[in-house]
Formats: sequence, C-alpha cells, structure tokens
Amino acid sequence: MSRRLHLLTRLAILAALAAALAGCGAGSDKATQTSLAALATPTPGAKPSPPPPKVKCLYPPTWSLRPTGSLPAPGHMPPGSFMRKIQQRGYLLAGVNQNYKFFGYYDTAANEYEGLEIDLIHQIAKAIFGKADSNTIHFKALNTGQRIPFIQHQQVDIVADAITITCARSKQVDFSSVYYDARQRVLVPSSSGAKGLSELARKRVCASNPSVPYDYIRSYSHAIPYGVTSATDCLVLLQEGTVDAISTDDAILLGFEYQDHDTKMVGGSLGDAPYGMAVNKAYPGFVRFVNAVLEHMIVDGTWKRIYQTDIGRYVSVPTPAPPTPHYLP
Amino acid sequence: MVGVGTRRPARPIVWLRQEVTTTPGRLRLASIVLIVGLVVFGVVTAAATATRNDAANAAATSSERLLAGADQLYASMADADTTAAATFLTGGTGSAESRHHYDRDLASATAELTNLATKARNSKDATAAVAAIARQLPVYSGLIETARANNLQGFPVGAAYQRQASGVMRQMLVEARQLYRLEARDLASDYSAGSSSGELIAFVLVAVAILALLVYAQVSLARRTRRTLNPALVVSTVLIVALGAWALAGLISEQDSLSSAQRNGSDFVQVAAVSRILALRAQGDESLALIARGSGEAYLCDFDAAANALEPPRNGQLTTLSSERDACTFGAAANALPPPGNLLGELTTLSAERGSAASERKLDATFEQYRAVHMRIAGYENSGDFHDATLLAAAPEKVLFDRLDTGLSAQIDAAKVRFQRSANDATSALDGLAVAIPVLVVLAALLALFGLQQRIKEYR
Repeated sequence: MSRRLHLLTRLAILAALAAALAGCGAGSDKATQTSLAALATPTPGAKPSPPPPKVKCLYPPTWSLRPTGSLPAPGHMPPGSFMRKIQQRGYLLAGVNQNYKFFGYYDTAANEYEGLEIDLIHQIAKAIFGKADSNTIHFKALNTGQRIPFIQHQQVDIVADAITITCARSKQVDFSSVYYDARQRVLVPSSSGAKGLSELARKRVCASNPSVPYDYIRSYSHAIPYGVTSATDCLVLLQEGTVDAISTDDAILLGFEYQDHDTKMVGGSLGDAPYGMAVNKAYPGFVRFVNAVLEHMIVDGTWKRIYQTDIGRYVSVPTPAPPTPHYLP
Repeated sequence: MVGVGTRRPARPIVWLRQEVTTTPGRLRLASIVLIVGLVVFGVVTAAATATRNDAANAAATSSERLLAGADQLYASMADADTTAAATFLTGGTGSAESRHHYDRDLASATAELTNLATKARNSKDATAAVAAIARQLPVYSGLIETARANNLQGFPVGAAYQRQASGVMRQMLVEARQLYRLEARDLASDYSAGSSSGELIAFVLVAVAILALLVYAQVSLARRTRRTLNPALVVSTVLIVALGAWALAGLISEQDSLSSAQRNGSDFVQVAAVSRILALRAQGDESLALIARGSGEAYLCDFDAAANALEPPRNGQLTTLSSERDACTFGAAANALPPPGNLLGELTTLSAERGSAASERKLDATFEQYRAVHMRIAGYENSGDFHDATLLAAAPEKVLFDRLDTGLSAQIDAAKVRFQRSANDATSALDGLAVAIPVLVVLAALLALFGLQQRIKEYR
C-alpha cells in the first residue's frame, strides 16, 4: 500500500514538473492586449444639438444697433474699442463658408475665398485697416453647427456665413443689420415633376441640421427631413440619388443650380431668411461699426457692385434691391 | 463467491483467473498489457506532436501573413486618402506625381485585399470585413474622381465630394482595423495552442507509465525465471526511452522557438503595426482638419486621441483645442479624451529586452518633433492662418511623418524576419517524429512481444 502511494506521489511530482516545464516556455499575450487596446482608441462623436429654445423678442430680431456718428478713419480705431483690439492684433478673424458658390467659397485654383460675404468682410477689414488682403483678414471656414458657438466662444470676431436672423439666435449673439434677404425654396432634379415642398410628401428632402430650413421641413411638410452637417453635402446626395430634393435658402440653391445644370428651383418662398453677420454680445460697439460700414455700402452703391460681380453676372435672375436697414429705437 | 449462487462466472473471467494463476498465463497477459501500453504511448505522443506542429505551422504561416497583410492594407488605404486630401489642399487637381502616388496606393490596396480575401476564407467575420472594403473601394475612388471633375471646373461641391470620400474611407479603415483585430486574435490563439501544456503533461505521464511498465515487466521476469535481463525487452525499453527523449526535446524546443518567435517577432510586429496605424490615423486627421479650414475640430480631437495612444502628452501637448468643446465628445465620458497609452514606449521596452533600443528612441524623438510641428499647425489653424498651416504640413510635418512611417515599417519588416526564423525553428523542431513514432513504437512492441514469447515457449 505504502509502495503504491509512493509511486503515485512520484507520478504527481513528475506531472508537476512537466507542467512547470510547459509553463516556462509559454509566452504571454500582453503585446496583443496592449496593441489591440490602443487600436480601439475611440473616435470623437458629435454631441446632439439641443432643440432651439422657445423665446420671445420685443422687437423684430432684424432690428440692429444704430451706428453712432461717422466711421473712424481706417488705422485709427478709437482706444478701448474692439476694433482697436483687432487693429492691434493685425488681422480680422472672420468665420465664413467654404462651400457656397456666390456667397462664400474657397476657390482651390486661385487659393482664396470668393463670394458676396467674403467681399463684405473685405469692406469691414478695409474700414479697420485701410486695406483688405490675406494679412489683414484670416478666414475660418465653419460648418452650419459651428457658426453661433464660434462667436460665443470668441474663436472668431465675426461670422458672415448665411446665418438667418431669428429671435432665438439673437439671444445668443448680436446681429448686424440685414445684408441679404434670402428666401427658403426647393431644388429638385430637372426630371422631377414636383412643383414645391407640398408635392414631396414622404420624399427625402435634404437640409443642413441644425438650421431654419431643416426645422421648417420637419414642422410644416409631410416630407422626410434628411439632415447633413453642411448644405453642400445635400448637392452630393441629390446627385447620388440619396435624396429627392433640397430645401434651403435660395442664396445657396442659386449656387447649386449653377454647379449642376440638371437641377431646378421650384415653388415659391417658404419663408424669409434675412442674413445678418454675427458678433459676440460683448461688443455692441463693433456691431454699430459694422452697421455703419453696411449702410455706407448700400448708400454709395458698393453693395450693388459687389452683388453684380459675385452673383449677378452668373445668374439670370434680376438683381434685387439692397436690403433696407432697420435699427432699434 | 459461494454467495453468488448457482450462476457460473462468465467465460472471460474464468479465462482470466486461469491465466493469472499460471506463469505462462501471466506472461501472455503481460504481453497484452505491454502492447496496449505501447500503442497508447504511440498514439498520445503522435497526437501531442501533431497538434503542436499544426499550431506552430498555423502561427508561422497563415496568421502571420494575414496579420502583415491587414496592417499593410490599412497603410495603403490611409495613405491613398491622405494623398488625395493633400492634392486637394494644394490646388484641387494636383500634379502628375501625386496622382501617380494615389493610383499606386489604390492598386496595392486592391492587391492586398485580393490576397486577404483568399486567406480569410475560413473566418466569417474576416470575410465580411474584406467584402465590406471591397464593396466600398470603388465607391471611394468614384467619389474622388467626381471631386476632381468638380474641382477642375472650380465648383465648390468638389470639396463636399472630397469630404464624402473621406467619410467612406474612414468606414473602410474601421473595417481594416477590424480585420487586423481578428488576425491578431487568431495569432494569439495559435500561440496558446502551440504552447499549451496539456499535450506535454499527457505525453510525460504516458511516457513515465510505459517505462515503469517495461521496467517492472523485466524485473519481475528476471526474478521469476531467475535469468539475467531479456535482451529483446531491453532493446525495446531503450527504443522507447530514446523516442521519449526525442519527443520531449522536440516539444520543448518547439515551445521555446515559438515563444521566442512571439517575444522577438510577432509581439514586436503587433506593437509596431498598431503604432503605424495610429500614426497614419493622426496624419489623416491632420489633412482632414486642414481641408476643413477651421471646422475640423473633431479631426483635431481625433488626432489627440491617436497621438495620446502612442505616447502620453507632454506638458502643453494636450493640445490643439481645449477638450471642453462639443466636437470632442468621446463616448460616454463627455468631453474627455480617452486615457493615454504608451505604445511607442512599449516598443522601446520590447527592443531593450532584446539588447539595443537606439532606433526606437530615434522614432520616439521623431514622433515628439512631429507632435511639436502639429502644435504649431494647430496654432495657425486656431488663428485662421491656413496658408502657413498648409505650408508647415507640406514640408516639415510630412517629412517627419514619412521618417516615422518608414522607421516603423522597417521595424515591422525586421521583426517579421526574426519571427519567420524562430517560427521555422518551431516547425522543424518536430520534424521526423511523425515517421519515427509509428516505426519505433511498432518495433518496440514487436521486440517486447518477441522477448516475452521466448519465455512463454519455455513452458511448452
């Protein structure tokens, strides 16, 4: 009995030895674990934007701050003003669009920005510095969702990027007086029989989100809203056949029509979209300054000239009258 | 026994009882036990060596090649997109040279994809990933061509097509990462199969048992018959001892080579390959952020995430944009970058274990310079100076990135050679045993039978 036990013990020892032998050669998978964990580094996702707050405005939100007196001479901005700060910094930091033909777009061949909004910024820079070039203006291209936050966080001085003035937005930023009266309309492929948004029930209609047109499609039509980060993506999706129509401001649709001759604008205006430039609420003096520049442009015909060069000569629609500025009492 | 009653014991029991009581009977029984034991030994040894050999072969060939292919596929596709983006940045349609570069990247991506498709046949997930990439690759190149056509006409919608294409590419890169992950997992399981101790323990136990049986048979035979040792049985024992030693040495050497292949080869390949993937991801983010001309916050955040996984940020390198921005939302932990890793440090540690880590330290330094340039670019972007940002990205940063990329691929290639060498050792460690085991075991069994038969004959 004891002999057998002895044998069993020996066998156990041997087995343990074999196990130890096997263990010493085996590697660990630490490298695999570490590298796979690193490979799984997450990609940032966009935070969902909160719904627009329900607010009321005492005056129409398009009424802006009245210019005070005459414009200071270029290069001599009044001490203590925001314009003085910009002058000392050496350049105006402007948020614009890089995709909207006619209004704000980046010309990759010429390596510069072009469009009506770009020329507006040029005029403002000229009023501050006396000249407008790549030294005195730095442009940042923004997508739709960034326009208001970039002003709120002071990442840019001013935004001229097809922003429709609304009551809700006027609580977040200050707006200049209106520089262009856009209207929300609908663009469809030339082959489409739809004559307006009402005939696009259960069809996919593209708009940038968040935006006024997007909310309009969602609230006032039977179409399925299709949101994108930049309205230009809508043209890509229309050309690919992913969406059936685009509904946004005619200012943007005009540019789409120009880039794709197989599209057409249909239906009447779905709503006014008065464009204003956005400025941080901390700088009412800058808003008055910008409004003074705008008023000058409208009075001396610069607005009409700019419209003609940037848009009028490319399209068949008649040149509209410049908007009439309204000021707060 | 009597209590069982009138029922007679079954025939085999009667036979066994008779056999055990007589000496020739015992000898016959002993020969049966020995033969069975030897056969069991042969089967166990053959199974152990065959399993290990298969796993070593799998680790050496299919998995490693697949792993290498997946990281190369990622590199080709990421490079194609970065090239297309850079071309777009510098004037829309680009030079013949950059066009060529892009075409070459796409061609090699297609070749690698075909290669992976044939090798991924037996994995459902890998096949799905390959199919997803194969489906999207033509979509991607179509979008790039449309972007070009629009850019040629000066239409800003070209930029939207470019963005769309990059979006498709990002999905494809996710699939490529998935492919890589699957292959890395396969390799890890091949390793654990190739060095699992189960076979070794079973083999040792069976070998010890059969040797004990052989020795016991001889000793008791010598005692019972009052003779010296039976030469046939001795030779049979020696054969089994030799075969056991050979198999044991083979198994240990296989395990040793395989673990050396892992330590010096594939561990290195994995860490370097993922480092390269992360570096490519950061570089892709950089060019996408530049194309966005100010709206590329999400890309800059992703750059930080990828760079931090390679190396924890130094003071002031966390970076680009403060992480409180909405664009930098990482999963559930809102507005926080994922915790930093230290993959490049891991690479240095791995090579320090092998001796010198000079070239890894150089890579580390290059990456630090690269990051410093990125900080300057991000600074320019922040102030809206995209002209200077683009210039900085085109010259110093691209040069540093290329140095990093070339350095990492050289590391990967060197580690692959080391891997192949050790893996070949692992597969050749068990060479010959597949033939030797049946031959020697049958020989040993015949000898044992012959030896015992001689004794049995003496009783007739």
